Amino acid sequence: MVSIDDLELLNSLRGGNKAALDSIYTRYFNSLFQYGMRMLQDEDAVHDCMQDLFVNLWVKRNKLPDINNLRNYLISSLRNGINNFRLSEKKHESVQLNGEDHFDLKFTVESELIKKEEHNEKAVKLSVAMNKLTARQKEIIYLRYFEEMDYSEIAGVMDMTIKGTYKLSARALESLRLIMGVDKALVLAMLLSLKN
Amino acid sequence: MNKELYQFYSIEDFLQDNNFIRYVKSRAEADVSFWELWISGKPGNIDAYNEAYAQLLMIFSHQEIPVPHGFQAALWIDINKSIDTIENKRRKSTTYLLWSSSIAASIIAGIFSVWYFTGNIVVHTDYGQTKNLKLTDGTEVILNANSTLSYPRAYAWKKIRSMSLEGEAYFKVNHLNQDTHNIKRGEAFEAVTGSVEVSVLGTEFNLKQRHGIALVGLINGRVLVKSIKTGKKYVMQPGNVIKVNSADGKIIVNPQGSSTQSAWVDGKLVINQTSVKEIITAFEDLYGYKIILDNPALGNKKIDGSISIKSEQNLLFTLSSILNVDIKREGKVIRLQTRP
Repeated sequence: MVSIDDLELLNSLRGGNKAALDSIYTRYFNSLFQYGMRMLQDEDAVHDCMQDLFVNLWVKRNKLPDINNLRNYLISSLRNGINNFRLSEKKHESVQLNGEDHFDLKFTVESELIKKEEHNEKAVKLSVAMNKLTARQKEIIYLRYFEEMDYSEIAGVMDMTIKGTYKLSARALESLRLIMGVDKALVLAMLLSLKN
Repeated sequence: MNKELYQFYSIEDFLQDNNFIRYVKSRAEADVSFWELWISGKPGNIDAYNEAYAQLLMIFSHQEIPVPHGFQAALWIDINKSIDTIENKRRKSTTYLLWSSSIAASIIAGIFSVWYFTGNIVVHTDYGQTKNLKLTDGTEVILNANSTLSYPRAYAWKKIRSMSLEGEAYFKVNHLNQDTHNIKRGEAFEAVTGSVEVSVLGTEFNLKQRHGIALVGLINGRVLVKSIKTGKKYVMQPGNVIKVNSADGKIIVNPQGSSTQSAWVDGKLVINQTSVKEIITAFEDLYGYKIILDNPALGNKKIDGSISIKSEQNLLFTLSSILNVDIKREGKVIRLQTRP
């Protein structure tokens, strides 16, 4: 889905209109902030990564690739920036806290809707299992349901081949099945939902 | 939405269906009644529906992360600062390229220190654009369209924090002085234009310098205005507006038609017995057009009220309906033609 506005904004940006940068910033601030905070859980670091993203967008406006979806391009660029930031942090840190990166997506049975509608143990079980998903698995779920991307968009943003995403799904499937001890079909359902 | 199709849906079908996702996520009234009706038909796959519903509820139980207060605005300011720094460096670097690299290294070091300690930061806004600046001393400046503000790079280190302006800006000067009888280094602030010097300790005021005329509007605190031509001084009280013409340097207090100088900060132009000519000049200054009145007598008409200047369309539309004229655009020239 490409909105005409985004294309106009990009053309205007390429033409050197600073107001276009302002509009892009205002339009995608929240999306990028949410995603950044989930990746990094550190306001200052998110501030720096977002600053780099927008400064580069402006400074390199004449060298931008063809962009047919501005939001996906921004999220994907922010993700690259965050990965570089993590790499440089790891280099400087003598003590590694824990090897795996984190993606902040906590599921809870405390939400009003669930309280109202689901009293049973299954909800608790499901939340436990979903909270044990790996960072990348959570990231896929986040992009699918919160940013409403389709499967190929997710593969693009996360810089994965479709095959790689399948492998990831297969592993997630297996681990979820073990954690929940439930019917394979049920778990399949959740993971297949990530497919387009 | 195809009701017939849903009865064949499995859990995974539901979890992929954008209509279903939207229903669980936002529970819009129309969606709720659609699905309630669908359930009332006792579909055979109600278990799949319930399971998918539970999973999605769980996924959407995750809350948005609240944005810390001021984060978005502060980040935008930092982005602009960083861009300005890079662009200034770039401008410099093109001249550096003229030098051979060995000599250049020493010269660059020299130029850099001069640049740092004596150099100015220049901030410019294009037509139709405003900028918010926050300085290291906490002072905030909102720069209106088609304006240029410059100040020393080492601004906060100077004896007097000084800025010069061409165009229009709203200043919120951070008050650093505690003892008015003993003003220390860096506590005084002045804003200078072609016609006036405005000296303050801490206050809010609007300053405009266009076409050889300065207008100062004081919002809070007290400021001292000095006419550059005559050297005469005037201490302003809040609510005062002062007009200084650089040709004769005369200070006029509360000139007619000059109320609420700072309304532009909120995207408005508040006018009080202001002539159409003056409004048109303001529009030309902000948006970079040339406006021609077919009937020049209209220019002397005086109007009152508040006009939105957030977009050029707004302002033009208001003007055309007040004056009962048609708008004709020819590139950067706008003709206001009296309706037949």
